Amino acid sequence: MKSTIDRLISVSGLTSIAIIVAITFFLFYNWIPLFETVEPIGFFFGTLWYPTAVPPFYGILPLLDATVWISSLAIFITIPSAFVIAIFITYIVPKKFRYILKTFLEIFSSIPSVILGLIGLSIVAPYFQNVLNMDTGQNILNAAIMLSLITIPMPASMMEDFISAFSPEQKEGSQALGANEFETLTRVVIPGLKGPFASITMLSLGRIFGETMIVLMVAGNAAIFPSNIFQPARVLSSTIAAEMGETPVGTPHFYALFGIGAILFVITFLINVAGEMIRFRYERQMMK
Amino acid sequence: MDIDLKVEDLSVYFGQKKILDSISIEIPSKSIVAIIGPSGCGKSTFIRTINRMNDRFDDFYSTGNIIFKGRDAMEYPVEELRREIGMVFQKPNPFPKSIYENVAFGLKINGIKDKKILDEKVNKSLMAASLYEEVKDRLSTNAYKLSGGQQQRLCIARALAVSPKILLLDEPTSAVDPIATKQIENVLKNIKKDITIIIVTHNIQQAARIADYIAFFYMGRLVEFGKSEKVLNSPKEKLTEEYLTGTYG
Repeated sequence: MKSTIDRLISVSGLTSIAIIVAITFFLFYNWIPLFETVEPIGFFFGTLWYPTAVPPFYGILPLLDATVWISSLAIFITIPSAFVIAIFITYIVPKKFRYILKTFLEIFSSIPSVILGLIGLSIVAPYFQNVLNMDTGQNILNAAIMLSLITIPMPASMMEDFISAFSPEQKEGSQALGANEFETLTRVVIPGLKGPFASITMLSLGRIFGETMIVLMVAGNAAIFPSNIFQPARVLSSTIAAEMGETPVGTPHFYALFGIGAILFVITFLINVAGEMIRFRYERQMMK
Repeated sequence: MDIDLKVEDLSVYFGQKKILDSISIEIPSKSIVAIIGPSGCGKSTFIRTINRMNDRFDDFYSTGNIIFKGRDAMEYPVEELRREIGMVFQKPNPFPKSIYENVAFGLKINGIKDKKILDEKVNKSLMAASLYEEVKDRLSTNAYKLSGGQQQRLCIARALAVSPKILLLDEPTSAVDPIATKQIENVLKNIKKDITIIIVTHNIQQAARIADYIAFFYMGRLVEFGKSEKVLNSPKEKLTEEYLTGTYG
């Protein structure tokens, strides 16, 4: 009996690894032919993305630049907000409401991103444009805010788990020295959770980085180098979503989009590996 | 004989359950008082009530008085009370910080920023806890790198750093080996010239080795309290005698 279960688990584990390897292979396999017609330097460092112009330009630098802008701004909003929510739930909300609030958070994080895209498009964008007098409401700021909204619940809930599960012995140790709740939080709990928080930040960044729909809908989609957060921009992920449907199979444009996919895959992979490594180091340190 | 702490008719409840039943005891200054008794007799609850560590439990409440320096413990701001009455726990619980930062923690909470004063007090506390020689060259390493016994002495140093009047210890040697136990016992014997020590232990030999006074608790009641030799050699109560001779325990 046990061996059947063991075998089933091994098979499903190996299958998922095989699928990941296959995806990687598939992405690279459809990317490489691009370099028969396009110089690698023109792809990686080209400053123009005009895939349908004559002659076409396949430079991903503006897309990469926009991705960095939007992701950094979004993570900059997400992590502090998530932290404040986690503190609020742990310390201020009465115990009996904590569970309800956490459930609510988790439900919120499963809202399809297209719905937040809609809100960004129909409420935030007109507000930016008409009330705050921005040139366009579909811009980096709007995308970053919407991305944060969909991302926040996950890190908030994880941070709350870590804060409330933090070693009661150490908390008592701190309080026994005359530290109040706040001093214990800022001087013992938070410093003690640097590792997990860094790892949560990386996980959130991974999620923000790969999110496509919201950015496609509200970032304005201009493949230019933005000079401030009120300008439109187009990121790597939404470029694939926007163009793949109308791109003939086997053209350089098709291969270039796969190239973007491969780059996204590699970056997301690296971010997650970094997150795991931080977590691993932290756990080893705690285990002594 | 000076009295540092006077407990009058203290009863402690968790919800409906009475854990301590009208305890009255006077703790003599600058001595080691051992609290002994079988598991579940309320030893830990007793000392945790003194520095109000039980306050955070919703269903905890107590009646009676704990008089510290002429004032009821409940009247103190809890942080102030705990600076005067330090505590060392059963399991060593250093913070995941450097050795130095662990000892300096309480001082910094108290607003001491002067590096010179901090250095001096940290060194003094480490010396008092007989840890200084072992760690003086690596004060900036993480406290987690220390052995269990060293960690426990670090926790003693950490508690001593804020110069408390009373030090409460909740079975401080139950998680360390015999050699470390001996070191910790020696530390306690050395520091009692400056500080009053109340130690919970369920090791009668330990109480015999270090205590000046012994209080025997049974089922939430204080059965007997007196000089160590008296309690150990000629206990007044039959319950005490039975416990000491191992009839139960």
